[in-house]
Amino acid sequence: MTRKLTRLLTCLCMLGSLMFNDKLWAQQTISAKGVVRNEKNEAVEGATVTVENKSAQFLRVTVTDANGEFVFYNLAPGEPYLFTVTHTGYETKEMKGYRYEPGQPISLNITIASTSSQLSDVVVVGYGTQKKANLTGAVGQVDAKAMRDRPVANASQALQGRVAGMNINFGDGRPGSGGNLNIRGFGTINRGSISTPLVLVDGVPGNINLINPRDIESISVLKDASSAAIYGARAAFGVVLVTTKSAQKGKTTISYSNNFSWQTPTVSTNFMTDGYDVAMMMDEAFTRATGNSYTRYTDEDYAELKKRQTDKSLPSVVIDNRNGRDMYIYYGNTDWWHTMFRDKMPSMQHTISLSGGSEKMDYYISGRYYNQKGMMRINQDEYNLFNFRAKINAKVAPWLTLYTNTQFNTDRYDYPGWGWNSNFVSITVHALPSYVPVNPDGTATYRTELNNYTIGDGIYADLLYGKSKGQIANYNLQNTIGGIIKVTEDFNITANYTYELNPAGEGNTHEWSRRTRAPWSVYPGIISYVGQDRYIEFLRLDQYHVLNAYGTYQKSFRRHNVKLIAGYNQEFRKNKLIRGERSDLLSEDLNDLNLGTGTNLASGGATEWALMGFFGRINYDYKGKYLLELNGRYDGTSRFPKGERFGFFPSISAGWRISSEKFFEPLTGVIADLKFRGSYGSLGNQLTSSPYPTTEVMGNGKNNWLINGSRTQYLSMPAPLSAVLTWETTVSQNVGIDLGLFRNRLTASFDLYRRTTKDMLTAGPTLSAVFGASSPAQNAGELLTKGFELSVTWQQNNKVAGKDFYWSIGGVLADYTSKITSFYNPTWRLSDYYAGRSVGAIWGYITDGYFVSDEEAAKWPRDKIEKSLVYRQIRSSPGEWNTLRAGDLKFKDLNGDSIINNGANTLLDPGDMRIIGDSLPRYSFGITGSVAWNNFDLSFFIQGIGKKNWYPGNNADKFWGPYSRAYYSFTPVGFRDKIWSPENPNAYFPRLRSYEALNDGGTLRQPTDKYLQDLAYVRLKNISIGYTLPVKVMRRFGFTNCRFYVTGENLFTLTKFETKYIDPEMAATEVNGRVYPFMKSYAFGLDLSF
Amino acid sequence: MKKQLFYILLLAGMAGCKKGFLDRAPLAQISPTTAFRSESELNLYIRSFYDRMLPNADNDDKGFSLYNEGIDNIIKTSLPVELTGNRTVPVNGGGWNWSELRNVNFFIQNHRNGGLDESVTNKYLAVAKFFRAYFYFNMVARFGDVPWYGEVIASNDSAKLQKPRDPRTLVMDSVLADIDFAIAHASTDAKPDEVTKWTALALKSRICLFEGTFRKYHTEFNLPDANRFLAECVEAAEELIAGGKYGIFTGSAQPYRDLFSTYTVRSDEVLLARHYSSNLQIFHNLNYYTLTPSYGKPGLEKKLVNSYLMQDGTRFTDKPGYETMPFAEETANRDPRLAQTIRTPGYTRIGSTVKRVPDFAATVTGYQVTKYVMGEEDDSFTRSYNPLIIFRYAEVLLNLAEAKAELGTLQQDDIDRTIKLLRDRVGMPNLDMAAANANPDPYLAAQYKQVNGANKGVILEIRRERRIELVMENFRWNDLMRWKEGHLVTWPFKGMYFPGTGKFDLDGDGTMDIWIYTGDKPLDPDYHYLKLGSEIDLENGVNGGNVVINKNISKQFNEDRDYLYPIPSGEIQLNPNLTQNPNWQ
Repeated sequence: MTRKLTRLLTCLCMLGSLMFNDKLWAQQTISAKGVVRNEKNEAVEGATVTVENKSAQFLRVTVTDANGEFVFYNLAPGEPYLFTVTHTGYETKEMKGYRYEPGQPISLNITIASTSSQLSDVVVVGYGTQKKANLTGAVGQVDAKAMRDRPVANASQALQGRVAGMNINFGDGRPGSGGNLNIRGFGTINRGSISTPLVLVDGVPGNINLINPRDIESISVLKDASSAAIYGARAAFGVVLVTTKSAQKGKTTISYSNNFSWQTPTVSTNFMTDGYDVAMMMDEAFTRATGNSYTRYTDEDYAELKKRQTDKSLPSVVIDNRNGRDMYIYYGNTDWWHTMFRDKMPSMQHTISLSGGSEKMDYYISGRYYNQKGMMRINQDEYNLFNFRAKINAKVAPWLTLYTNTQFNTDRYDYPGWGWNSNFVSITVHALPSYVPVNPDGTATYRTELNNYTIGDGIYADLLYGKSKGQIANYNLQNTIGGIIKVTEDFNITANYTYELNPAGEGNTHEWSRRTRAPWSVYPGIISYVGQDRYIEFLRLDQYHVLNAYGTYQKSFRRHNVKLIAGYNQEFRKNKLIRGERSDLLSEDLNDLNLGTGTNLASGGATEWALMGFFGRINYDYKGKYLLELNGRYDGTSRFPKGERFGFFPSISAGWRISSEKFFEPLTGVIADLKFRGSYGSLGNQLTSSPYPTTEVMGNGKNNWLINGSRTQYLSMPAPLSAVLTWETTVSQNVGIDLGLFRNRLTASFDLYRRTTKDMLTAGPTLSAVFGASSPAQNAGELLTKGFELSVTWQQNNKVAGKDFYWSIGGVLADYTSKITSFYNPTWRLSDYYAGRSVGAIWGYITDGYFVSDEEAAKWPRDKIEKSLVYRQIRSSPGEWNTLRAGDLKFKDLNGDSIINNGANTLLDPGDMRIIGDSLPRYSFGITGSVAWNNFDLSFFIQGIGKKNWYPGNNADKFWGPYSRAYYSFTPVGFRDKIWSPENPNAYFPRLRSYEALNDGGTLRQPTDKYLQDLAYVRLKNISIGYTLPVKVMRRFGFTNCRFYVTGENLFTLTKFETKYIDPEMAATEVNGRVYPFMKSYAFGLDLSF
Repeated sequence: MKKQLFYILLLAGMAGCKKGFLDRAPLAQISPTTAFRSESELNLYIRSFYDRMLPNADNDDKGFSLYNEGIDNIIKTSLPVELTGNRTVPVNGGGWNWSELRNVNFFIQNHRNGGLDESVTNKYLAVAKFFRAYFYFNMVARFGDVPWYGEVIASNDSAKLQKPRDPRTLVMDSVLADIDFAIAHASTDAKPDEVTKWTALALKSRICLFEGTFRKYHTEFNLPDANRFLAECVEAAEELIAGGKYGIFTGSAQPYRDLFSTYTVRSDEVLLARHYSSNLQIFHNLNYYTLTPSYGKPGLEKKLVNSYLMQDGTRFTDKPGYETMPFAEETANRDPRLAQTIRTPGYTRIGSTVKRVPDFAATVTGYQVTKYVMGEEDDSFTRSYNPLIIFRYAEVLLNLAEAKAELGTLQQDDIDRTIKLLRDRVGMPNLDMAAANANPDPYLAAQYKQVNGANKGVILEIRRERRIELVMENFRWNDLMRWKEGHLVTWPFKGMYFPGTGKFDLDGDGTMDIWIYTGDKPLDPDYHYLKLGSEIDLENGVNGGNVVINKNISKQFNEDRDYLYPIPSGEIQLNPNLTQNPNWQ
């Protein structure tokens, strides 16, 4: 690996030197040099410096480095030169009349002023930008720095925890797995959406998980109604604006970066591998629930297993005659996890970008390759991603700029087995350590004849054969062409059209999966086969058209500043799907529908929808002190019928920069900046589960009723629809404070919000069952979400050992609660929403320790136990085990009827249930810190949540072990110590019984306070240490930047979670935690610019 | 140029806002307004009934599954609440599911929207009415009075949604009208995977026998017309027999076994079966269910085993010492259907010559079920794919004999064309009606307490025959309900007899097979050990007795309440006009 890297580095260096050999070999004379600083005396990186001699038509451009330094070589002597420094967020600075005398290089010390005297940044907002100082809405922003050094597959991994109020979670740790975004928490009970924000990449709906994170210049998160209202019908749950990098005018800059990382699961993979111990435990648990042993090992078998605990030389497979046949009997000590999975997987990424241009024309071209190997040991899975982007601006006339922005993203994930996640589920059953993967003759194992169960459902036999596999792939191509017409100095018109092929996010472009029959044996010499030979392929053609046109008018009348935007947007998307399936292929290695000889199944599907909207915004401020903004959008959607399809979504916001008032002046030494702001507005949500929520369509499909040996196609009744359906709307209120203290070393923002979601598109009030269908969706119910967001940053520059020592620390904290305020549920059924229900409320039972003796257990009246929901599983046990025993879980009888159940399961009669927890995440936070000194830099990022309750699902194998199914393959090491016994009366788990956590009537199945988990965690998401070569050294090689770094992801986690075998982030998204594990990684990398 | 471009943009913008841009209709699904224009659409629609409305393989263990029978025929480690007295009024669910009726009614209401002529549509309407009759029959059997809906209910039709229950008599007359329409118009071809005139006749005989006997025995409900329904049953069965399309399968050495253990449906006897396919990966779980401990270890109940006659036609329960016979002796010379239903000495798996004894790890009673079981290649979890029967000719013959016996019109001649055919198949002597009536079996009479009158003896024999012939085909619960013999579920469930602890040779081949022990497990590998008290329970513990199952589960049947199911309380909340069934709280 290292050799590969060295070679790559050498190649790159050679490439660099070839392209710039004029610099290296020709005489280089420094003619002018300088440093650019801001008012805080901080070096300004990335400022564009031009040197110009208009009469000689001479122009040269460079960019300042991390130290704010720039340099020009070989200027013609004499000549009055004009130096210009420009940088986003700063006033342009010009310095005239410099003359260069050979031997006396021009030396410049330039200070540039922020465009706003205090809060200097410009923030991207809907259809434009806004000075941060003038913002009146709640907008969070992340810049390119957050993407740096992160050896991540996609930007959502780097964004998690960066913006207060933006929640990102991941369904699994599969290579390339993208995050789910959410802003300000639970938004709606609407069946068709999960409160996802609208994500726009360069103004066009896009997918943040598929673009090159290194292309991202900034990300704006529009959180409140006022900032999002310009997107109307799709902005109910916020908007995320991703802006990609634009060209740096001047000489071509090439940037290259890479990183190489090694990943390893965040969870422990140290499972019990002792065949004897596990079999004993499983049999004990199983016998108590079913009356007989699971493994069906005889005592003699057990004796054999016992011997192999100490004598590893004994064979783990023997041939014995049972039931009249010779068969393999297994006495193994197999580590199935590591037979199936790897612990270390490499990944790497390379990105390159070219940027440059002149006044008339500029360009930015970038590419990226990301590769991650997965954890499957046999036929390792692999993820590959390519990104490409080209942006070109052409100023074809003083009043007209044309631009084009093209992106092509393609990713591909290849996996072995039956499906990338099903591998992780199948292997969790029946692969006990006492079984082995392979028979002595090399054939795979599958069924054990002692008990008829199938080891790992046969997944290992299948993987070993290696022919079952699949692939998912996306091919996303997007092109925007547009122009900006400068009608007058104050008035611009922007128009663009985007065509996108196969937008990511709603299914993959191409998928195929292959199953073959895999050989196995249990009777020596007799091969059987598991599975079937089948090939399935999906192909999706998804086309998206977006048209935007808007005008911007901006004018200052003395101290009155006005900005107006008005425009039109329309979108149309058409999706087509083709699915084919064949069985019995001519080849086991080739995968195509053409090869099928058996079943021939094809299906399709097509949908389309359209949106149009007229939008406008008015900004007004007086001396930058009193700020007012009005937004509105009139939106129409094809999803609703005529008359219901248009909605108007207005918002208003205002701000007062009190720090600009005269009377505030005495305080400005401490409080440099203080702004109050508030907003109020309404937004829409048109997302329904079907694009045709108001058109009745007949059901159709294929059913399993066979006629003449074939599956039958059928038509069935349409799902009933509500007569009237329209927008779901949210009304949000936001108040905020922006604060800058101690000459803006400390900046802080605080927002408080309230969002009411009205007319939620959801199932209507429950109808009598005789209706015969689920209640048609309608606008019903109301939800209130309240929360706050705080972000604080301290940054400072000191001198340490004569060098600049820059450091900063910042944090974000957010919290919200959601409550149903209105829902038609006249009988207050707990199985449905009801007014007043906290959305995340978990109802459950209160435990009261264990029965300390059989006598105590026997005191509970028998007829009451019969009726107790929680003891139903125990009551169905055989023989002596169907009574309560010492060590069984005791429950508090809250309603005094001695029957532990859920009563009528209504709010008025919840039986012995109480609200025991809340499943919504509370107190999400992120802490970032960075230090830079003497070319070294260090940054870290910590993320976590303060509280989130979770009750393990009934198949959470690594939590419950044999308490769920007494045949789970993976039992955590030390599990025995958690099992109650007379000697261990305070153990975590009660008396060992199988199926208690699996079946509805089990003591562990219903949520209880005792086993309710708190998934609160603090995680060191990233830490990076970098070293930038000194400018002098870099120049010698012709680099403008050269930085090496090492970085780590997810290195350290603190959590209250009971088990370290399930990741707390993972448990939050999958109730059984049976998914592709999350990874931590260690990486090193390089950043180069020249 | 600037100006021109501006105009072009403006024009393009206006063109973009074309009318109808937001009018988008579904592209890949048809709307009800354009449906039913061709016969093939009608055919497609009726196919939506089969999969969802006909019983499935593994669902539950009462009415709606094909082999997973419980009640007092096949005993498992756990018992359904119907038997334990733990029945409660559910909040919702509980069988009060009406979505399939909506699907059928949608067809009945709209099938002529496409303008097709009755001569074309009636064939399909017949199938829809068959399914509506089937739906309502099951609802009435479960709940008694239920509201009748002949059309799709609109979501705002509160009159229909708040409708009270209709009387059982009205609903059943509507069911009769539906099934008569189906008989008159359904296809007359015999197909084992589609509903035909013959299936409709079989269903009618089933429904009418149920309703006729229910009304006869449940005098507490004061229902009229019991005999009318019995006569309708006779008529339907006679018409099916007269059709001459079906007979009793006899084409193999073990014809009773091979009627079920076959991949190719025996279409000479089977009217309708659910088919499975290895090719299409559509499986059921039968082999696994009978061979592993995971599904409650099903086993035949002792009283049922006792009711199999001797091969010469005499009663096993008349033999002295029948109660304490060891397994090999008790299973010798019995009705051959016993050996084709459970493992008896000499049993071999299909495709194997190895003799197998009952496996106590897979059966609680020791009478391990083999009906429907295929060869070892199907032994994995959900890997069975032999067809499962829904309607077969033998049931219709039994229906006919029983209906006539209950009507008092039964003659020996009727037995000769019904019961005799079933007996002939397995080489059993015929049932002699006069002899049976002259000497009613006291063993059965003790169980079926409601049977009286001149035909008592033959009715008991018909019930014996029905229980044996149709075991595991899920008739038992409805039979007990209509006969008003619910108390039978509370009788203790028993299995094989063992005189005490020790080693036993189950199949009489001279080698010991199992060892029932107490205390520490003996160290000898050649036995299947069963620890008394945990792995096996005997009636008198170390002093032996029959295997007892569910020893600690008390069983109850409330005669004043349990013949009907409760209506979910949530539904009564939603529709206060629904009244609850008697004595349900």
